[in-house]
Amino acid sequence: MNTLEKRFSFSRLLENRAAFLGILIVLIGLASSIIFKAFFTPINMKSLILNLSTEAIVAIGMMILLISGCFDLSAGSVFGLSGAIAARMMYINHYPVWISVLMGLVTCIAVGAFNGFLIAKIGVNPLIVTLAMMGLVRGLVRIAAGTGLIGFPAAFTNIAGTTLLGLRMPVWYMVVLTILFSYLVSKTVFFRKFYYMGANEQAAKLSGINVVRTRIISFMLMSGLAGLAGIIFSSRIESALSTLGVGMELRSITACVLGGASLAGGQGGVLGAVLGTLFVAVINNLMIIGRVSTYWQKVVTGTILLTAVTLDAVISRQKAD
Amino acid sequence: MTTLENHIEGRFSVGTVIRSIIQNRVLFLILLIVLLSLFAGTTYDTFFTQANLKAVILNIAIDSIVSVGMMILLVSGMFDLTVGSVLGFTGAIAALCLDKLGMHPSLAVLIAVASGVCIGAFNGIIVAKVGVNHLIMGLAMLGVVRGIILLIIGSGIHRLPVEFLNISDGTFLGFRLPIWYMVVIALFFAFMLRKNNFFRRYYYIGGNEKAAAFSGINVPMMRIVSFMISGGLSGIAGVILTAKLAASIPTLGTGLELRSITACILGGASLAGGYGTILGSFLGVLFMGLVNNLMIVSRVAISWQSIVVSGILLIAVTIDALLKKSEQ
Repeated sequence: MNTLEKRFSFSRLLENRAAFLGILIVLIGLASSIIFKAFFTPINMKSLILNLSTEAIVAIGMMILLISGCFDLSAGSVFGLSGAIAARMMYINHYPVWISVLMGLVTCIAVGAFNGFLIAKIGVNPLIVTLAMMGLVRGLVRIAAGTGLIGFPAAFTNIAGTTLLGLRMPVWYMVVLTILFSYLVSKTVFFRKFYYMGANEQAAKLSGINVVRTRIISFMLMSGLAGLAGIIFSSRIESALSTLGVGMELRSITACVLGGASLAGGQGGVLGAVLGTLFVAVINNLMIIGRVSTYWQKVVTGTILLTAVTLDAVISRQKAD
Repeated sequence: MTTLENHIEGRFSVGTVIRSIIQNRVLFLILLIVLLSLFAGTTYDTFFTQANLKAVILNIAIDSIVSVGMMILLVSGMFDLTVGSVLGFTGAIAALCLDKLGMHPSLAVLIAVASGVCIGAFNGIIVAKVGVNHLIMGLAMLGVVRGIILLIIGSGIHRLPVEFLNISDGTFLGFRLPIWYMVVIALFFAFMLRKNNFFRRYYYIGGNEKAAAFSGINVPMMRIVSFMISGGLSGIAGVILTAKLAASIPTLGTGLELRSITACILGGASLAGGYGTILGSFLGVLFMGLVNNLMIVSRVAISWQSIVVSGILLIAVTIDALLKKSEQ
């Protein structure tokens, strides 16, 4: 068959993980709306998207890192840090809201810069650095927020509380960030570098990319997005808990891997990250609606991830043969 | 000037000596442990009591048994993020066998440890045969196993027969049994890693997997075995901990994988593989146990404890990386 005629083939579509996920989500959504009457209601849909909005923002940052061949296990702790610091400054020191939020974000970006510095400049293994930072930052969260702080000024709660066109603000933040980063990552020269770095770091370095500086920026971006998501979430639940974000990094990596990222780097897209988050959220939502015990949720999520990566490995094996 | 060149040319300055000690991780850890103990002993008079020291050794027994398995994996270039969940799982299986099925403790322990080995085998097959990345596999399985624990024991089992509790409560020559289990397991695997041909191959696999495969080593089979060992040792640790706490609770073992990897890295393992000894893993666990004990004795707030432990790990790996860089 002439290659020119083969413009559309199912295997090409399957390889585009984002498209595959999108189709899968639609199919599951259709099936669920038939089986469960409660699924396709506006209330359920709205709460579903609202709940996943902050996780999606973190997943975007994680996807950028994964594309460049790294990952950040401290994302969950950083998620809690921004809210804790902002809360502490507002609650105890009575600073205005915007300064507190800014300080929270700046602290998170500083954590990202530190991560990036150790990993890219000093050359320490990303797993160890981010693992250690996960514990360290979590300790900082506890010091800043105790067990939790509640009682925020209206200006803070409005960050996530206001509604626009019937949807809460966190959803719009997620939409804007998704569109923004989707465009940036696929179309701009700067973000393309991450694909090169992820595919072959040596070649990227030799071709003139300042790998060290770009890596540090990617970690700052990750922590900045995690911090932003943390502020939004704290504003939404109107409190800053010290347990905020525990386990988020694993869920985020799961969503990204489902969305097409490879741990080796060089693959993936922002849309895939968001769709991966959506997929996991839909499955969780179905389990809640279907009155499945919460104990099963962990098993199901883990099994989905395992199945996805196993299929991936098997398929790429067959292609190589 | 690399350290080796300095040695060959007979140049010994304070700098090169210090660098050599830092690079010999075991020596460095021993030095740190001695310094730390001296500091603790002189600052807090409750530290150097027999009761406190025995408590420290008892507390590290669980972690060190798991770290033996983790070190073998790290030597071969992998790690196992499921150890914490497997520990909880095997404890739950043992508790179920004892409480709901009324089995004899020996049989329950056997089944529990066997279940740990089975999970390890599953992990090993997925990683070595199917080809899934061990980090992702570990992340996924740790959630799955933890979920299964919740499914099978709900909020926990708190009624266990006395014969089972003796696994942990019994003493021998003045030391609690878990300490002896730790000593036997550590000595056995230390000897195996050093002298036994089969186990030595893990260093080759960690050093260069392709070369090892080409030289005739059955890498997939050995990887599966290493995961089975890790699962089995986590199983033994799970049984011991459950006996010690006289209960099986679903959160048992959370955070163990991170502590274990930290201890092994402190003890000289490299994430790239090919380095590390059981002695190193034991010293790493001991060091962390001492730091933990010191923080408790000095009434440091819990929030600061995780900061201190993480900080130690960061300093250790940063020094490592800096030394490696300056050698190039």
